[in-house]
Amino acid sequence: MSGAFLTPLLFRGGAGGGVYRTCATPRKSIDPTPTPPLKRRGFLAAFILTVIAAPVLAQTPQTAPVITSAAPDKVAVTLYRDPDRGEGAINRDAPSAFALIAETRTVDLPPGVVTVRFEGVAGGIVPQSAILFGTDPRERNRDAALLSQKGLVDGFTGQSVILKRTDPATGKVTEERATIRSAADRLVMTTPRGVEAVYCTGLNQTLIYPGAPAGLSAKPVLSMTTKDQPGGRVTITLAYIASGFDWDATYVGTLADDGKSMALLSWLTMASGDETSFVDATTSAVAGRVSRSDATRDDTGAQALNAARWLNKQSQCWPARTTSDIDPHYPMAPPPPAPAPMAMMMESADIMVTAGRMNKAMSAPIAVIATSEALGDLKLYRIPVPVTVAAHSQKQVAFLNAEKVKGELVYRSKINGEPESPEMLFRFRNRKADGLGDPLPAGKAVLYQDSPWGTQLVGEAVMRDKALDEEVELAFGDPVSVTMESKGTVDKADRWTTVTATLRNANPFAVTYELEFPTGGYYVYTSLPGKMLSKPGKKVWRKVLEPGSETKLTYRYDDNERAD
Amino acid sequence: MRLPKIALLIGFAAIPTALLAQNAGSAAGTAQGDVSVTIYNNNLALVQDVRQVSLPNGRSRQEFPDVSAMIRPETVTLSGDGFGIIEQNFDYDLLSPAALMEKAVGQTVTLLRTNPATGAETRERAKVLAANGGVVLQIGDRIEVLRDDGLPVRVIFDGIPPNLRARPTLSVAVDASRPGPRPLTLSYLTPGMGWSADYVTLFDEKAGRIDMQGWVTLTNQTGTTFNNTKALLVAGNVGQVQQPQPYNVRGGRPRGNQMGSESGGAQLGDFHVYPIEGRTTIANAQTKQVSFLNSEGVPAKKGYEYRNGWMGSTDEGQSASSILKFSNARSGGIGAALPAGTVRVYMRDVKGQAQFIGESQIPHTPGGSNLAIRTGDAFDVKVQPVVEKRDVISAAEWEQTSRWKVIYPDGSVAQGYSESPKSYYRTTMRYVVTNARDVPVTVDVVQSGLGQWWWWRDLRVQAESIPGSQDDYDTRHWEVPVPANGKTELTVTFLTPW
Repeated sequence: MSGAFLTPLLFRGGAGGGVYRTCATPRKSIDPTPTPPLKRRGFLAAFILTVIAAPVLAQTPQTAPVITSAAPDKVAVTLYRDPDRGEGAINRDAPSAFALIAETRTVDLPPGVVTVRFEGVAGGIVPQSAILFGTDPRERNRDAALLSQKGLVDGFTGQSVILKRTDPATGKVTEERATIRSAADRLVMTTPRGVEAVYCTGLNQTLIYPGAPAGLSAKPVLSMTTKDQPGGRVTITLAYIASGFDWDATYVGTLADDGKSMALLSWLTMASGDETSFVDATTSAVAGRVSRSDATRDDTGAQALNAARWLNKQSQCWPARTTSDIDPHYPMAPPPPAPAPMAMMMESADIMVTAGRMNKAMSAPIAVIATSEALGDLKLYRIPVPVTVAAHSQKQVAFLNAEKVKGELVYRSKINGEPESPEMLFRFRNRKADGLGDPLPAGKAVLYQDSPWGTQLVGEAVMRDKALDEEVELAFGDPVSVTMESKGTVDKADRWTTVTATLRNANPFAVTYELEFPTGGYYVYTSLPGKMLSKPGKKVWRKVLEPGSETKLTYRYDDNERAD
Repeated sequence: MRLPKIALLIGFAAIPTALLAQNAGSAAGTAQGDVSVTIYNNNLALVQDVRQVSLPNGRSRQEFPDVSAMIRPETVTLSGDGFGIIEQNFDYDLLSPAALMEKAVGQTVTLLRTNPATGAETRERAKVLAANGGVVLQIGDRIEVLRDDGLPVRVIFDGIPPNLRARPTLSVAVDASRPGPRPLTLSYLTPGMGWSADYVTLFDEKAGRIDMQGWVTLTNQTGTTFNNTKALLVAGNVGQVQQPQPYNVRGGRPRGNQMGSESGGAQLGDFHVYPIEGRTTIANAQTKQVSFLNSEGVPAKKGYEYRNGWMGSTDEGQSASSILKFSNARSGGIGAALPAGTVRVYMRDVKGQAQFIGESQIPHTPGGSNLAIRTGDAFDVKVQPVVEKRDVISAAEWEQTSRWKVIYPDGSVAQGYSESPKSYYRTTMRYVVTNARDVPVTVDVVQSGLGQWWWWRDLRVQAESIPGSQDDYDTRHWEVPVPANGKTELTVTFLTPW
C-alpha cells in the first residue's frame, strides 16, 4: 500500500522560488566529506548517554536514535481570516483563525532508522495537517504527554521519590524516601510510617524526583521516524496549520470636501496569539472564505494542557482544611482548568505599526505595501520584505493606497412597508476608471473628513469581500440634519395602506436621497412616486434635496400573500 | 565501523532492562505481551495481547495490568490451554485519599499532629467512625471531626486495602488442570483509539491535475501505551449499540459526488483494511500518521456552485463555492478506496510556495467514485439572487399553464392534485452571476426549497432563460456560463401553490 513515497510535492513545479525551493535539492544530499570515524564514535557515545538518561524508553519507538531539530532556518507564515467573526474585531488574546506555517529545517541524520523531533513549532499546531517535504518518513508522531506535575507523578507511579517536609515553626527540613502508589485521584504514597496522602495535610511538603522522564516534553512535540536511509545532511520543509492567528483589513478613508471622492488607505492587521515567534518570516495573508473541517479545526493541544494541569497541588485536596466536603460516593472531580494567564498575555502584547502611524491620516509615507495576487479563487497578499511575526502580537502593513476613489455620498431609506430611518453611505464602484480596481478583502472601514477643526471621524462601516467592478456601499452613520417622517393610513376596505413621507434637508448644502422599494417581497408597492431606477431586487426613487427644502411623496402598499 | 555498533546494541539491550526492572507499572516496564491492535474508525479498537503466564495447578487469581484504561470489561475473553475461567473481575476502585478513608471506616489510623508554634509532633491512634461529609473520629473517649480546627494533621493508614489500585486492572480467577507457563490470549474492545485519513492534495489549476497523498492518522487516548504492536486499521464503522450515530454526510456536500463500484486493495469482508508495516509503538496521548496513498497527476477540474433557498434574496452578490472535482477511479491514477477523513487542498502561489486553500470531509469512498469537494468561497465569482416579482394568479391561469408541468421521477401525479390549494403564486427569480476573473467560468446555480412539503408536488417552471434540470423534487439547477470579467443574468419563473 505504501510503495515508494517519493515526496512528489518536492520535485514538482521546481520553477518557483520561495521557501520550498530549498527542497529542490536532492532528498538525501549526503555531505560530500566523509564523516571522520572519531565524530561517529562521538555520536554513538552521546547516544548511549541518551539511553541511560532515559528510563522511560518506550515513549520513543523501538531503538531509533533521536535527532532534535531545535528551530527552523527559514519560515513562511500565511495568515487566514476568520470569516465568522463578522464585524467584530480580532480577539487579540485568542485569535480565532489559523495560519499555514512552512519551516525549512536542516538536520544531520545518522544512517538507519532515525527519529527526528521538531522543536519550536507553533503551539497551536494541528498535527494532522503537517506535511513534510524533502523526506520519506515511515511514520509521523505527535506526543502530547507533557512534562508537568501530573506527567511526573504518572511517570514515577510505583517508584521511589523523596518526600521533603519543612517545619514552618523551626524551619527544620526532613527528607524521607517514599513510593508513589497512585495518582489516579490525588496522590497516595507509602512512607516508612505507613500510607498517607500528600499535599492534603496542610503541611509544607513536596516531592523531589530523581529525573524527568525522557518521553515528556514541555510542549506537544511533532516527530517523524524515517525509513532505513543512508544518513547525511537533509533539508526538510515542514508545513502545518496552526490555530490562534487572525487578520483583518482596515480601511482608512478620507472623504473629500465635496463628498465626491475619497482617499483610501488600507492596512492588513495581523494578529498572533501563539507563544512562538517567527523571526524574519516571509509573511502573507489570504483573503476569502476557506472551508474548514470541524474534525480538526480546534485540535490545539488544549486538552493535553488541561490534563497536565489538574493535579496542581494548590487545588482543592482531601483532607485540606476540613473534611466536611468529602463525597462518599464519587471521587472528587478534577477542578476546572486554571484560567489562561490573561495578565501575562496583556503585558507581552505589543501593537506594532510597521509603516508610519495614523495620527494624521495618510500624512506619513508608506514604505512597504503588500502586493496582491490570485491564489486559485482566493486572494493572497504578500508582504515583500521578511517581517517578524512575534508571539502574542499584532502587526499592521499597508496593502493598498488609492489617492482618489470617485464615488458619491447618498442618504438612503430602505422600505419595508413603511420607510426605515435614513442612513448615510459612500457609494463607489471598484474599478480602475474610478481610481481603485483592486480586490477589497473584508474588514472594517473608518471614514474621516478634514474640517476647519482638523481631521474628524465621520463614522465606521463594514466592508465585505468585494471583487473588481462591484459596487461598494459603506454605510457609516445616521444623519442628524436630514430627516424623514412617514405616516400610513389604511383604506376603508382594510386593504391598501397609503404612506405619506416627508423628507427635510436642514443642511446648508444639497443632498442626494434614495428610497429603496424591494421587489418580490412580502408587500406589493403601487402608485410609486414618479420615475424609478431599476436595480436587482429593488426599485429606487432618487432625488436631490435642496438646502432647507421639504419634499413630500406618497405610495401605497398591500400584503402580497393575500388571495384574490 | 561495524564492530562498535554491535557492541552498542548489546550494551543498549542490557542497560534499559536493568533500569526497567524497577519500573513496574510505568509505561516502559509493561506487562503487555505480543500485542496486536485492530482499530476502527468509530473510536473503537480490538486489542489482542498474548502473554506468557505461568499458572499454578488448581485455582488461582491472575492479574492483567497494563490493559487499556478505557477497557470495556464485558468484552474481555481469555483463551489458552489447560485451564477454565471461574470469574473475571475488573477493578476500577481507584486508590485515592478519599477511597482510603472510606475503606478505613471501622478501622484504626494514626494521626500525626504538628504544633504550628513549636513544630513538636504528637501521635495518637484514632478509630474512623464514619466518612460521610466530614470524617468522624473516635480518639480515646472523645469524638472529633478530622481537621475541623484547620490545623495541619497527617493521617497515616496502616496499609492499602487490596482492591484499591493506581490504574484499572483486570483480574481473572482460573482453575488450571496442569501447572506451568503457557501463552494466554487476552482480547478486549476499548474505546479511546480511533483513526481517520488525512489527504494532502496539491492542485495545479493550469494543468488540471492534482497530486494526492493519503495519511492514516491514529489517535490513542486510552491512557495506556501499546508497545511494539502489530496494527491493522479497518476502514468502516462497525456496528455498536448505544453509540452515537456514525459520521453522516447530509445535504451539505456539493453536487457531483457519486459513489463508485471499483474494487481493489486489501479487504476484510465489506471493509477495507490498512495494515501498518512492521511493528510500532502507539504511545498514550499520541497522534501517529502513516502514509498509505500516493498518486500523482490525477485529472481534476474546478467548478463553482451557488445554492439558494426558496425566495432567497440578497442585497449584494454572494460568493459562490469553489468545488474541486476528481475521481478515484483506476483510470485517473488513484485507483483505491478512500477511507473517511479530511482532504486538505493546497495550491502554489506565484512564487511556488504551497498555500492552503481549504479542506473538506469525505465519507468512506469506494474506488471509481466521483468526488466534489468544497474548498472555500470564490472571491471573484458571485451570485446575487433576487425575487424580481411575486404575485397571485387565478386558478384559471394556473390551469392554462399546466402544459409547463414538471414530471417527477416518482410519477405520483394523482396524489398531488387531490389537494389543490386555493391560491397560486408566480415568482420570478433573477440570479445575477458575476465573474471578476480573467477566465470564463461556469457556475452551477442551485435553487432548493421547491418541494416545501412532500404532498405539494405541484411546481411548474413557466419560463427560464437558461434550460435547467430538475435534480429532485426539491432542487433544480442551471449551468450558467459567465464570460471573463463579465456578468450573466438568469431569470426563472416558478408557479407554485405556496
